[in-house]
Amino acid sequence: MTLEVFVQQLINAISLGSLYALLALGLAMVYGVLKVLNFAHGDLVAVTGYIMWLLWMKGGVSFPVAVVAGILGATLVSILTELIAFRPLRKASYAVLLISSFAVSVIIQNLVRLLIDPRPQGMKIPAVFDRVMIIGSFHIGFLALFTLATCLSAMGLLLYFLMRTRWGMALRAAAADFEVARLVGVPANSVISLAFAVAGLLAGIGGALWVIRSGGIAPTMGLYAIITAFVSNIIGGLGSLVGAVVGGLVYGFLDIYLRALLPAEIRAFVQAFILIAVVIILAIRPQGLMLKRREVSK
Amino acid sequence: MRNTLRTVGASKSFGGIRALQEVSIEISEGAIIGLIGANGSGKTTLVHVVTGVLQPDSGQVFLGDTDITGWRTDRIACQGIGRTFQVTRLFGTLSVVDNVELGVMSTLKEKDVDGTVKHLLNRLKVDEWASQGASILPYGVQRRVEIARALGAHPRFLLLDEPAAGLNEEESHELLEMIYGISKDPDFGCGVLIIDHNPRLILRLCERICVLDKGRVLAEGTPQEIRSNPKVIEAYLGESYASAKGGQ
Amino acid sequence: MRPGWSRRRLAVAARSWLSTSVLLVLVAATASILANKSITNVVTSFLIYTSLVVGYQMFMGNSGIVSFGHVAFFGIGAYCAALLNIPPETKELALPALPTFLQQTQTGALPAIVIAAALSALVALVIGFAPSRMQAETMGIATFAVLVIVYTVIHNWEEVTRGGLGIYDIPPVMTPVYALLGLVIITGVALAYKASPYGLRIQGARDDPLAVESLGVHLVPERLFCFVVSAAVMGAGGAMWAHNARAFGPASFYFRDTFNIIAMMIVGGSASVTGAIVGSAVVTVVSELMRFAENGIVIGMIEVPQIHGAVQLSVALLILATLFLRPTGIMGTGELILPFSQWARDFKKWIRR
Repeated sequence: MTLEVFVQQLINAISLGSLYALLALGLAMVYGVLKVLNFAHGDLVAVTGYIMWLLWMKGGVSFPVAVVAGILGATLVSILTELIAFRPLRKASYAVLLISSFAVSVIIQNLVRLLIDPRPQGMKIPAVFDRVMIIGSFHIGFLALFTLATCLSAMGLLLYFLMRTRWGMALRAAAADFEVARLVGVPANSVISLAFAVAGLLAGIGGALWVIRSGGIAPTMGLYAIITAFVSNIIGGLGSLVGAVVGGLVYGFLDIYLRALLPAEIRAFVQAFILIAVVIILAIRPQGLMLKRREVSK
Repeated sequence: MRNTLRTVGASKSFGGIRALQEVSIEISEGAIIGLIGANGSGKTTLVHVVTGVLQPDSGQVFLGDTDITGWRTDRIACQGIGRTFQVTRLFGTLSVVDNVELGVMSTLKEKDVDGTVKHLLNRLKVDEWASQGASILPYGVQRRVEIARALGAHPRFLLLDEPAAGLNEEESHELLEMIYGISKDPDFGCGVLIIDHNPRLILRLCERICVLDKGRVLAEGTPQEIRSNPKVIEAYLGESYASAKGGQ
Repeated sequence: MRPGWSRRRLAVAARSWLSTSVLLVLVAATASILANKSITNVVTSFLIYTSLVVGYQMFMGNSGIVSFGHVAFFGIGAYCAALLNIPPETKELALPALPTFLQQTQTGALPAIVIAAALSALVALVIGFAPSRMQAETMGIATFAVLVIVYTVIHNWEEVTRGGLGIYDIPPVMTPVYALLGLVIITGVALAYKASPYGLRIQGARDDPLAVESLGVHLVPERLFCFVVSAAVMGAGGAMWAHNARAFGPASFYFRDTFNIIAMMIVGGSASVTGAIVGSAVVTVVSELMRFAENGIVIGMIEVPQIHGAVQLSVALLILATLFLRPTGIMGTGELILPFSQWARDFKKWIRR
């Protein structure tokens, strides 16, 4: 790979990495507070996609409005998921909650199949996203820049929210130690719903970008999103928001560069190679890149 | 030459809190040592450091002549160091028998598992609870099951973290008598370290006592020496002891 | 008795094994007697699929770790057995790029099953090493990587697997009796593991890893061992399955089957081997019933339209119902133990009348 190709792909890698980071962050928000992984988080991407499709392709609504509606829809579904599948099981074990969210994921996928359409659909993406800017000998896609800018803004706003607002600090307190946060007056249910709402918002934004990138939707499109979010989190270190971001970036880099590096005959196997690389990273550092080998609690 | 389990100058801090400061303590095989101190004086932290749950910031842990500082918890346990926890950590989805069996089966060395399990259940007087689920036991029974489990692998040293906490006077006394009997039992004899923040029972039972205060060793010696140590009386025994003495 | 093993635990396991085997024999015998081809097929398929659920239960039930990767070993076992036992003539035609020694071999079903189990165990050993060193929660999702890696390889390695086209013409070897035999053996292995020191230690880790470590147990090799043994069972089950399904593609070893197997185990009771069998039965029945709805049916004058996703929706709701109402599943943590000696006594009394 020449230097030129390397730099060319760099913007793509950072862009994709930031998208993966955004999805991973949403998952990490819920994990931080509940200490549980929400399998249905990936399907929020599908929810966003389908709302966008219904409004933009079938309903004639303008694209920006469809996107906003999709994001709001994802946020709503995320909050509903918590009420239906997590709140009644509040005291349950980690495995029970994970499987419960797996069941919810399957329910969402099949409701989409049932209520909308089981077949994959194409989406016409506004032409602006296809524009390519030429700087010197490099081609930079507008979409890549847009993705990067959106993700960075979203993460910046999240940071501000967590550091400077009362609710944000309540969320951080709950993530650090739920019981103690409750004792000092943080309302448990509200904070959990807030975490899910934030997660839904992030998933919605990520989902919109995902759909714009892929140009299509399918009931099972959430699967790849959830795998990405899971893997990004464990690369970076489960339980750390910074870890989620770092993991997402690493995963994005692995994706772009392995695709560019692999010879054509084995490029079909790229997904396997990416994950083998992940397994190797985890073999060296099982706790993830950003965490130290944890000392046990209590 | 008897084996000893000892720490040399162990220190451990958490953020700004200095939980342990240069603590040196020694337990010989067959002895019963008491460790007392107010809540937060570092007693449990010391046990965590000895058993490998925490790594000390400085200082060492020795088993005989072997430096076991920084070893993994399970590796240290395999050397014959057993422990119980301040808040009991029984295996909730398993029965009492399963819990004790796990203790006996853990090292894959015991040839007569069933016999040993039966003996332990009997010794700790929990036979009638044998098939009960461990999550629904009365408090005192929980404590005894945890001790039976820790004894399963015939440890050379047993570290008991507040085994009598939450028990009434009578139950505590009974438990400590049981512990005394076990430590002198030829089958299960081991060096015992008992932690408690109630000094009365410790003073009665233990051969040597170590007093911790804010992470430091305040005093160390026989019950007589501790009882009459002015620093200990002032910092710790003071009121509680005086009132107890008055009550005798 | 071997050091560290408990005679009592093994005796209890043996009684469970006898009880479940008797029940399974009754089921298989009924199917054979009825001599209805479709019932025979259903029962054979059920017995084989249940072997997979038991294999999965060996891992998740004992360790408490939700693995998303086990179906990969099901797939490895199926493809391995297929490649070993498809007639050479078919292989020449369908898989011309296969190495000659493989193309010309036809090992017979039993060696194929054994080799499939061994291969699955080997892959599990290599790929399970990294996840075993993680915390329990993260190990589960790390196994996702296993599933996707294996799926990607199977789907794209066309010279060996025909990729998305799928593989076919595996000899139809599985009868209800063979399927029964396979399930009985696998149930025995699962119960033996549960009663073994390895099983007990990892059950303890499910509840409290720190307490187990303080008893001298190193969790990493324990988890890896559990992963490898359960993978071997999945491989054997996959090999049997291949000989029953006779033709299949990579999609049979991905999320849909992961979901089904997890559902069966949860509904029946994840901590119980009998639970895996019971759960498999319940979910199979529900799925078959709902399949009518999914395909659309005509009842007299009424035409019920296709309800897409009916099967999966019902299974998902079944999982949620179980988790909300009875999280330990139908069997809870217990195993089936039929009171044979009591029945023998009652029978003798009845005879004397």
